[in-house]
Amino acid sequence: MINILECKNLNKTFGKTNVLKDISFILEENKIYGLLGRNGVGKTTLLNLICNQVTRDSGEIKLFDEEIFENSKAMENICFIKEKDLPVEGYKIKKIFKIASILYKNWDEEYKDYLIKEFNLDVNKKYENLSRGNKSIVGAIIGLASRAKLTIFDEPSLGLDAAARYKFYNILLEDYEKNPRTIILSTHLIDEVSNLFEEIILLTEGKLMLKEDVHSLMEKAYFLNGREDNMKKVIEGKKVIHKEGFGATTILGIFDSLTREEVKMLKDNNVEVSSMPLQKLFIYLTENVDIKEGKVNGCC
Amino acid sequence: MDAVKRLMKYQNYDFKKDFLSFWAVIICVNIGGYILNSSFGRRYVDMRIGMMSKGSNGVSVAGANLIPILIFIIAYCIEMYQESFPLAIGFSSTRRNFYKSVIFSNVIFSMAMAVIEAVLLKADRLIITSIGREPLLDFNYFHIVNDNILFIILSLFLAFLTCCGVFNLLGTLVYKFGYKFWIAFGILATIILNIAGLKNIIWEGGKTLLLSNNFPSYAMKALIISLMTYVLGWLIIRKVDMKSSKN
Repeated sequence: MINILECKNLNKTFGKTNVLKDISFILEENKIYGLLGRNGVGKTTLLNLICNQVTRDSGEIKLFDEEIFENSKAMENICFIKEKDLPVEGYKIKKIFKIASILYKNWDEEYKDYLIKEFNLDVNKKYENLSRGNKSIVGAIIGLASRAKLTIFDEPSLGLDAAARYKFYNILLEDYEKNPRTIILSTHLIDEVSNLFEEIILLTEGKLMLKEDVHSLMEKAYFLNGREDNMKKVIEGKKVIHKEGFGATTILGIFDSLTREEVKMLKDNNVEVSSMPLQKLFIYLTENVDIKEGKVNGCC
Repeated sequence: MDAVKRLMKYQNYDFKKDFLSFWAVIICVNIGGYILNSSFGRRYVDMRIGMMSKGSNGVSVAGANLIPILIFIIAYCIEMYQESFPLAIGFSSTRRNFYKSVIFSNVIFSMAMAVIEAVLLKADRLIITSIGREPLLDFNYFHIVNDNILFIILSLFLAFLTCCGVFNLLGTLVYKFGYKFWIAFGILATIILNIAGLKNIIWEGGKTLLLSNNFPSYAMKALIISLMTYVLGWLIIRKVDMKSSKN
């Protein structure tokens, strides 16, 4: 796999608030990444730094091994669709698409027309008069038709109804298969898009908590449901990220590998082992546990 | 260069309609000015519509276009940083390329304005004479009869480019500092206007800087002011963060 983006020791401060602290990671070409984190952990700031919208205090960002700051060759390969409105009061949608077609080097006009039909968008309307959902559709069309090698969507489904969201996810996946590229999706609707993600980047308090392949991440996340005494032996030394009790029954959330023998032992002891949905894992990880230190909150 | 060309195309696309609308309105106003001068001229000898000069009976309708042109330049330069700049950077352009395209656009804009205004000024003399009024011929930096049209175009071009440079700097300051800039500007203006000595120094300094009797000195001053303001504008904008728009 070729590395497309490399971030090294990124730091950003706004006033006295240190928003991003020493963030380093590498993204590979032609993968879909999910950027997750609670509100205010610095996801949008990180994306703004990657796209040069905001200048960094320190650190390096390289796209295809080229520093991106004020580098038009590198920037030509990036498209960033923000959750915020475009700064285009009074512009008609067709004018916005025209401007995007001028400024994006690899713009696909035919695909844009196809997407307009698919989303049933009236391009003669003014952007400021659109609903939040239709503004998101304008952003989605620009992101998809830009054909940028690194396409970033920050909350792309904001204001979209369920049908439009699923249409967007399907089109995104369909286009990704035909025209592979690297996509970063920052969203709070994790369960809806968890099947799109290949890797997860998780931020907590301005730091990179983890960056991991979704499959290996999910292989480590389990719910154990049964009597606590019957689980004690197996969970010793393991990272327990959640605990809730219903009478004699306890549900534990485990974020650690379980061997086949351990799973068998649990089942033999009438403990149900089930996989944990990504959204739950995200909630427990960002709420409870400092994984690096292996601390366990609330139980055992 | 490819990216700068795309930015130029974008600015041209965005600007063409405004430019044509502006001149359509100005030409209509000029026609109205000639009609009024013609009808007033028959009834009231002293009533003149257009640009006038002290101690002269001359009038120039096209000369009065210089004020709306100045207002258009101010609006154009401020809008450049309120709308075009965030949109271009939001669509993955670099600040450097955007700034280069701004300078190229300003040069083309100033030249286009200068050509149209010079033609109108030359035509103005003939129209004013034909309606029986005395045309204004001496514009300090050029003379409508004595100077050829290329010289008038060059003089106007330098004046417009200097204005573009100054208001481009204003645009960058307004984008970077927002309302804080206007507060600082208001305080500074109040201080200057209330301290007589300071006011005189600035007034005289401004006159020395802007007024000139010979073309080489005028051209040199215009080019130096343009260069300085564009450099200052770049220093302000080169690392500026994009501002969040409303949701």
